[in-house]
Parts: sequence; C-alpha cells; structure tokens
Amino acid sequence: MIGPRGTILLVEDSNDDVILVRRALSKAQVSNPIQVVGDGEAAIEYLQGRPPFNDRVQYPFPSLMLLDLKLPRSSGFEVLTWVRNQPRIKYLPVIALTASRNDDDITRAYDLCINSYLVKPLAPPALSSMLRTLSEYWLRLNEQPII
Amino acid sequence: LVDTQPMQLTEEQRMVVREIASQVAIALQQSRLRTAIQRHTRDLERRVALRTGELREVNAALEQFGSSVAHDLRAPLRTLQGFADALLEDYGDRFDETGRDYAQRIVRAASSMDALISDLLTYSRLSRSELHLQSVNLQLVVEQSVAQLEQELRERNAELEVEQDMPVVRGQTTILIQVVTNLLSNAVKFMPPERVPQVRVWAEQREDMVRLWVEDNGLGIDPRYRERVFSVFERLHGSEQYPGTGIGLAIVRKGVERMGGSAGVDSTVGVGSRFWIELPAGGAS
Repeated sequence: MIGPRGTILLVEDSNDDVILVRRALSKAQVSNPIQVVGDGEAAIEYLQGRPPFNDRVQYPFPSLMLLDLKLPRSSGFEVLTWVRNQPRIKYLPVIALTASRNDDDITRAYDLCINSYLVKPLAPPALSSMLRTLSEYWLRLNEQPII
Repeated sequence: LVDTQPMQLTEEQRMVVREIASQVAIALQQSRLRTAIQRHTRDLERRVALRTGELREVNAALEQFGSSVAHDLRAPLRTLQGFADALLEDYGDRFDETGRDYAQRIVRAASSMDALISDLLTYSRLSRSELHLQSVNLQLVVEQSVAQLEQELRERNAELEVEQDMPVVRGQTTILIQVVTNLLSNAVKFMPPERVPQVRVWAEQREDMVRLWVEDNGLGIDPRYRERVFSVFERLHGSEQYPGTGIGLAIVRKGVERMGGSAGVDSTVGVGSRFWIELPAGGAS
C-alpha cells in the first residue's frame, strides 16, 4: 500500500491554506503526490478506502498524514483517536500541521499519540522550509511502518 | 440555692437575685449573638464560594474566548500574508516598483498584527494563569534570552556585557525569560541611528529581594513617561521608526508583579536608561 514515493494526505478545511501548503510543498521541491480532504469524516473514509476513495490506484494509502486540528465535523483529535484505535492503520505517521500553539491542544495531541506537532508559520518561505525538512525526515530518512 | 418555704426577700437578697438574673440575661444574649454571627458567617462563606465559582467560570470563558479569537484572527492573517508573498514571488516581475512596494506593505502589516495578537495573548494569560513559583537561576534565564535574541543582537552590532554569578530568585522560568527578552530587545532597539548599542546586565541583592538591572545607551525616557511606558499600548515613538507592539513593558511589569516583584526605570534622555526588575530572592521552595 505504501510506495517508494509515498503519498501525503493533507487534512485541511481552509481552501486558502490548502493552496498555500501546496505552493509551499512545490517551492520546497517535494514531489510526493498529495491528496487533500476537507474534513475529519472524509479523512477517515480515505484511510478506510471507502467510496469515493475506494480506488487505491487513484487514492493510495498515505505514508504520512498532515492533520489540521480545527476541522468541521470530526475534529482533528477525533480523527487521531480513530486512527490510533485501528489494528494496522494505527501505525500511520500523523503530524499536526495547525495554527494553534495552545498548550492544551499540544498536550491533548501528544496524549493521543501524535507523532509530531507543527505550528504553521506565518511567512510562506518559513512554511516551505518547514515542509522541506518535514518531508526529508518523514518520507526519506524515517523508516516507514508496515501497514 | 433552694428554699422550700415561701418567704419575703430582703433587699440584699433581692440585689443578689437581680445580679444573677442580669448575668444570665447577658449570657443568653451573647449566646444568641454568637449563633447569629455564625449563621451570617456561613451565609457569607456560601456567597463568596458562589461568587468565586462564577468568577472562575467567567475567567475560563474569557480564556477560551481569548484563545479562540486569537486563533480565528490568525487564520485570515496567514492568508493575507501568504498570498501577498505569493503575489510578490510569482508575479513580482509583472509589477512595477510601486506595485511591489504595496505588496510588501501588506506583508509587513500582517506580520505586525500577528506580533500584536501574540503579545496580547501573552499579557492576558499572565493575568489569569496559575503560577508555579520555584527557585530560578537568573544566570540561565539571561543566557536563554540572549540566545533567543542572537540574530537581532548580531544585526545591530550590539555590545552586551552580562555579569556572572547572579543570585537565584523565586519565580517562573518561562515568564522570566520572556521578561528579560523584552528588556534586552528594547535596550538594543530604541537607539539613536548612529550609536552602537551597549548593554550591561547585572544583579544585586537587596535584603530579601534581588534586583536585575538592564542598562542601555539608547534614547532614554522623559520623566513624564517613566510610569506610563509600563502600560499596555503605550508607545513613545512612531511604529515606523521603532517597530513594536506597545505591550512589551506591560508584560514585564505584569509578569514580575505576578511573581511578587516589581519593575521600574531610571533614565536620562539622550544618554540611556536603566530598567530594573525586582524579585524575591530564591532558595528552597
């Protein structure tokens, strides 16, 4: 399910932020395929491979999930909880990519076993740099779990 | 005293009886008053508990409101800055000088607003959060602040002298680092353009308190404003010349006050300023 050029699943409800993240990834020369879902429910459907995501050629299982914590319908925390309760999917590296530097949010995310917590920087060059480091570490250096 | 025979009381006996009756009456009255006081006290305690509960709820609601507002304000800010920057980068060559200037101003304004939100959040959290006071090594705090400001210090060619062997104080490390960072940042920022910033940091023991001094050779502060500078949004200079949120010193004062200390400044216009913070001396917590 996980290819050598793993797919990044971006879970983000703001279309503006999706455009900015895609742009930053491209500036960072991250060539991995990117799939985007706009809310928690869709994220779970994607991971389960349920319609409309049942075609695993078009919608491969991701190597990494970038999760915004403030989402409509099924908050980021609920998605994370769900993931960590699934028999195999639970190994998926999940990184919070969020606006909140709230201490409670950070604690709660780590409590729910997030792999890493990143706060979106304001300036686009900083975002690019962050995403380049992120993909270098998690998609190339890091040993992928066997899902 | 028991007498089974009815009799006439003598004057002396009547006086004794009156005295006893009077004492009993006083005792009864005192007892009634005591009961009344106890009842009122219980009632008061109940009311205080209720009010405290209400206040805690309001505080929690404000905290939630504050952080939601900050988060919600940041989202469109990020969009503003992100796309202004994207415009510049991807289409900048299609703009003339003025067009690029406009876009850069948008980016700077978004960045200012973010700093403002950040400082407001810090300030409001200071007013509400529980503090965990402990012994804090001032030397380490100053070193951390200096590390945080490394780039700024380098850019301004600042000469910094920090005394060694500073005493231990009682406080909270994260707040102290923020306080010292704000003071150091101000020290190198509010300078006349041609002067090289020279900053000196030292501490002195004053009985059971420790005073940390941050001395600079900057613009100085007119005596009129010496207290005002510690208020929120008080700025003495235009934000174009000397960028800042106007909340930095308010955070300094509020922060040290919450730790049982105080803050102030001695200054001479044109020569420089000596900011000080005073905190309880440290030791076993």
